[in-house]
Amino acid sequence: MNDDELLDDFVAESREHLDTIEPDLLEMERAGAEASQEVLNRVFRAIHSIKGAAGFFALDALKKVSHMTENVLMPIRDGMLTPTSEVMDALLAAVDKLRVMIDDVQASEDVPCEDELTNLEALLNNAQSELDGAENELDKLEAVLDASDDKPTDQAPVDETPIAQPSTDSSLMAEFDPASPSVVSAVKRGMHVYRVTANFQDDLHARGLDLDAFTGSISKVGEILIMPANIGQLNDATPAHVAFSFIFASVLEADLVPDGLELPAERVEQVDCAMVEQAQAASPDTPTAQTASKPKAKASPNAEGTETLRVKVDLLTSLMNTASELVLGRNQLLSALEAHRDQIPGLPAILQNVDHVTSELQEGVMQTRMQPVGAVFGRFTRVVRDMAKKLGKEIQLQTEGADVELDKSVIELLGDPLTHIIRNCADHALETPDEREAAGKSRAGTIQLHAYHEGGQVNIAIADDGRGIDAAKVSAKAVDKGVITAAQAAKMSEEEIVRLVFAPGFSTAEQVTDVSGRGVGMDVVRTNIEKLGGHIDIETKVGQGTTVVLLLPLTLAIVPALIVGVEDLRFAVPQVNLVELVCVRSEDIAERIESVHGADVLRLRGRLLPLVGLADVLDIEHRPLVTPPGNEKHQSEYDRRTDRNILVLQIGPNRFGLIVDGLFDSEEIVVKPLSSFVKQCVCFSGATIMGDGKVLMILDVGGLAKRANLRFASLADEEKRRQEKQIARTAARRRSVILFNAADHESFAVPQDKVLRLERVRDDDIEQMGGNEFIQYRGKGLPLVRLDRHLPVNPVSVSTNELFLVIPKHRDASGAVEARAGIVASRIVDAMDVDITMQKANLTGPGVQGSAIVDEHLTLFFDPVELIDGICNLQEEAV
Amino acid sequence: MKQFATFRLDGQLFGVNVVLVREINQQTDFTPVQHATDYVRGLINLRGHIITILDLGVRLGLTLRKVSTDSHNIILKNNEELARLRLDESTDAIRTTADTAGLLVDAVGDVVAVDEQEIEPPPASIGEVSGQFLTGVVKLDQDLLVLLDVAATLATDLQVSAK
Repeated sequence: MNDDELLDDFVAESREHLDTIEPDLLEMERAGAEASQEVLNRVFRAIHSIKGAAGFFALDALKKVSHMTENVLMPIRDGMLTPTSEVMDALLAAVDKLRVMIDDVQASEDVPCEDELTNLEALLNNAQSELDGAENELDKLEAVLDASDDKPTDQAPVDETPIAQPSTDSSLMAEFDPASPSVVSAVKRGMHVYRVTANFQDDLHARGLDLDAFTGSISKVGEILIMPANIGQLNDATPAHVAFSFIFASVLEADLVPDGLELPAERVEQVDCAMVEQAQAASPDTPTAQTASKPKAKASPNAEGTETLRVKVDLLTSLMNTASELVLGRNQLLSALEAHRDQIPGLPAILQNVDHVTSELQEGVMQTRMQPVGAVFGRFTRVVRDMAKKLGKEIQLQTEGADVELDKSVIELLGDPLTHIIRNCADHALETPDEREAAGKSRAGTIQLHAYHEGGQVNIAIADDGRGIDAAKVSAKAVDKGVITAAQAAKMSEEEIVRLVFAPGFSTAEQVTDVSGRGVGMDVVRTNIEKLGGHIDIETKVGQGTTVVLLLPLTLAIVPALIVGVEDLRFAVPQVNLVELVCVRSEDIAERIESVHGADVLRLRGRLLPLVGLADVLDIEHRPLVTPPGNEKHQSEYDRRTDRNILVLQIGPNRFGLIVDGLFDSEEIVVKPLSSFVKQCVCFSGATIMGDGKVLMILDVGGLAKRANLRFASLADEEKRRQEKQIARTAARRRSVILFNAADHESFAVPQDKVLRLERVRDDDIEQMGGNEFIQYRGKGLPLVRLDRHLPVNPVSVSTNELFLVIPKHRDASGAVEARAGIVASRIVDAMDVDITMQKANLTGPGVQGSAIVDEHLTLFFDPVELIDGICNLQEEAV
Repeated sequence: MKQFATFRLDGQLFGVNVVLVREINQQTDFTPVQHATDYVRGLINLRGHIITILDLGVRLGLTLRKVSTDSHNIILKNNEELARLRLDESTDAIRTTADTAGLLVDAVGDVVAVDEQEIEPPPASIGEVSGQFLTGVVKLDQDLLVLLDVAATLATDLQVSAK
C-alpha cells in the first residue's frame, strides 16, 4: 500500500467514525448526565482514532480539532461536564468541521477552524474549575485507597514482572487487585486495564521528566489506578536503572496505548479483567444494569461476529449486470428447452436447478448493493435537532424500519428529497409549542419516519402531527399562481387539490424562510422520486397532520413495464408512467375521440386528453386496414384492429393518451442504457432484452410528449373554454319562472326577475274607469291588464271572485323599480326553476318568447315588462 | 505484415484490421431505433449485451443493405477492449468507439495478410465511397482491397462530405 491508498483508507474510516459519532453525540444530549458509558466511550474512541491517524498523516488542522474535541469529551466522560445543548452545539460544530476536512483531506489544512476551537476551549475553561475540584477529590480518594491497601506490596509475585530489568525492586511493582474500587470503576466504564512498566533512565530522565511530570503526562491518556506503595521513596537520587510498574486504565485499545504513553510496546501489558467482571456479576450489591452492557462496550468491531470487506462499487455493479444477464440467459434457455423437457432424460431437474441457482445468485448479488435506509435516516436526527433550535420549536423524530434495505443507488438519490420533506415538516407543518398548546396538542411536535415493505416495493412514510394542509388555501394559492384555473379548482376534489403542492411553481410557504429553501418546492421532490422510478403521495387532515408517502422500487436496474405493440414491433412502457388503460371500441370512436385545433383528444371523465398514435410519433408506417370481407372471423379481427387501445400516461402534472395496436404482458425488465449512436432519440430511455432474446426499446414518456409536440397548456385553455360554455349554456336553459293561469287550463310563465310583486285582489276591489280597470295600489291607481284582450287566449272565468295580479318590474328613468300595471291571473301555480328547451309559440304578441311543456302543460312564456310596454305603445299609436 | 478481415459491399472488397474485430455473426433480426441516424440499422442482443449495428452501405454513402443469407455483422471491439490488449503504439489507428458497434455488410471474405509496404494512400474516392472513410488501398492479384478507416466510420460527428 502506498501513502495515497493509506490516506484513502483513513478518509473512508474517518467518515465511518464521524457517521457513528453524530448519532452518539445526539444520544448523549438526549440522555444528558444519564448517557451510558458505552456511548461515551464509543465517541471517545472514534475521535481518538481520527486524532491518531491525523497525527500520522501530519494533518495538523484535523489533529487540532479532534484533539480539542477529545479534550471536551474527557470531562463529559468523567462526569465533570454535563452534555448540555450548548456543549453539544460546540461538539457537533467541531464534528461538522472534521467532516469538511475529511471530505477534502488534501485541503484540510486550509479549512478555517478557529471558531470551533475557541468554542471548545471556552467550554473546557468553564468546566475547568469544576474539574479541578473534582480531581482533587479523586486524588484524595486514591490516596485513601492506597493507604488502606493492607496487602504487603513486597508480596508481588515475581512472575508478574513482564520484562527483565537491570534492577527490579519488587516493592516498586504495583500489584493488580481485581477488587480495588478504582479497578472496578474503570472496568465498569468500559476501560481497558494495563500494567505499565517504566524505567527511570529511559522513560523519565531521558525525556527530562520527573515522576510528577511523568504521571501527569500519563493521565492525559488514561487513569493511573494503582501506584506501587513505595513509589514515594523514589527521588532524584534514585539510581537511573531502577524500574517501576503501575496499573493503568484507558479507553484505548492495547495497540494504541504504547503510542499514547510514548513507551515501547513491550512495557505495556494488558490485564485480563474477566475476573473483575465475574467478581462483579457474582456480587449481589453491584448494580447489574451496567454489567449487561459492558461486554458490548468492550467488544472490538471485529468481535461482533460478522466480518466485513470493502468492495469497490464498480465491481458490484458489474457483477449485478452479469447476474441480470444470466437471468435473461436462463429465461431464454428455459423457453428454448421447454419443448424438449420430456425428450431428454433428467432435463427438468437440471433446468430447475439452473433456474433456482440463478435466482439465488441474482438475489445475492442484489443483496450486496442493498443498504439499510437507516443510512439516510441517521442524518435526520441532526437535521431535526438543528431545525428545532433555529425555529424555536420542539420536535421529536421517531424512526422505524431503519433496517429496511434498498439498492445503494436508490439510497443515494433518496437523501435530498427526504431532507426536503423533513425540513418542510419542521418548518411549515409543525406549529410552535405555544400554538400547539393552544390547539390542545403536546408542546413537542412529532415527525415519524417509517420504512416498510409493501407489494415488492419499499414505502417510506413521513408523518407529522402538525397543522395539516388547508385545501382551500392551496387551491387559492394555485389559482393565484396560475397553476390551475378557478374553474378547474372548483371541479377538483380535496385530495387532488392537496396534491397540487407537487405541481411545478407551487410553494405553500407564506413567507420564505432560510430553513425551507427558497422556492424549491415539492415538485423537485416529486421529480426526483419519479426519476428513481418511484411515486409520491400525500394525505392530510387539517389540524391533525400530514403524511407523505414515498413508494420506491427496490432497485433501479429492474423496472416493471408494460409491453405494447405497434404493427409488428414491440415496445416497453415503464409502469411508473402508466396511469390506466382505456379501450375505445370502434363504434364509440366518433363519440369519445374528438378534434381540438386539428389534434385528436380523448374525452375521459370530463377531461380532455391529447392523443398520440405511437406509430405516428415514431414514424412507423401503418399497414393499410383491409376492408373486412363479410366473414365474421375477419370482422372481429378488423374490429380489434380498429378499436383504440389507449395508454393514459402521466408526465409531471400532465397526462396524455398513447394509442397502440396491441397490449402484451406486464414484465420486469432490465434497463440497458442506449449507445452513443442512438442517444439522440428522445423517444427512448433505454433498451431491454426480453425472455425470447429480442431487443425492445423502452419508451421515454416525456420524450414522446415532446416529440409529438403536445400542447398541454392550449388544451387546458380549451377545456376551460368548454366548461365555461357549458355553464353558460346550462344557465341559458335554466330559468326561474312564475307559473300562473288566466283561464283555467291555460298556463303562462314569466321570468321571476321580471316580476316586482304578486298581489291577491278581490273582484270588488276592481274599479272601472273609461273602459279600463284599476285597483288602488299604494295610494295610486294601478291599471289592470287582461291577457285575453291582447293575446289570443281565453278570458279569466267570471265566476272567480278572488284574483291575482302579476306586477311586472318596470324601471323609471332613474332606474328605480316601479309598478305600472298588473296582469290579471286566476291562480298562481308555482315559482320554480325549469330546465326546458323552448319552442316557437304558435301565437304572437308583445313579449311572447315561446312555449314549452312544464309539468305536462303547454305553457306560454312571455316577458311581462315587454308585454306591458307593447300594449302601451299600441294604445299610444291608437291615440 | 498486417492482417485484414475482408468483406464486400456492392461487390467492392473492403478490409478492416483484424485486431479491431471482435467477432462476425449473421444475426440480422435488428430491432429498429426510430429517429436514429439513417445509418443505424438497429440493435441486436449479443449474449446479453445490446449492440448497435450500423448499415455500412448507408454510412459510406451507398444504398441501404438488403439482408440476404450472405449478410454478416462485423462486430468491432470497443475502445476499452482494445486498451486491454495493450497493443503496440505503432499499430496505427487502434481506436473505435466507447460503445460496441457492428457493421452490416453484404458478405464476408478471407483474412488477408498484407505487407505494409504495399498499402497505398487512398484516392479521393473509390466509386461512391468518399476517401475520408479510407486509410489506404492494396492491389491484390485479382482485386483491389480498400482499407476502411474504422474510427472515421464510427465517428458520430463525421458527416459524409458532399460529392
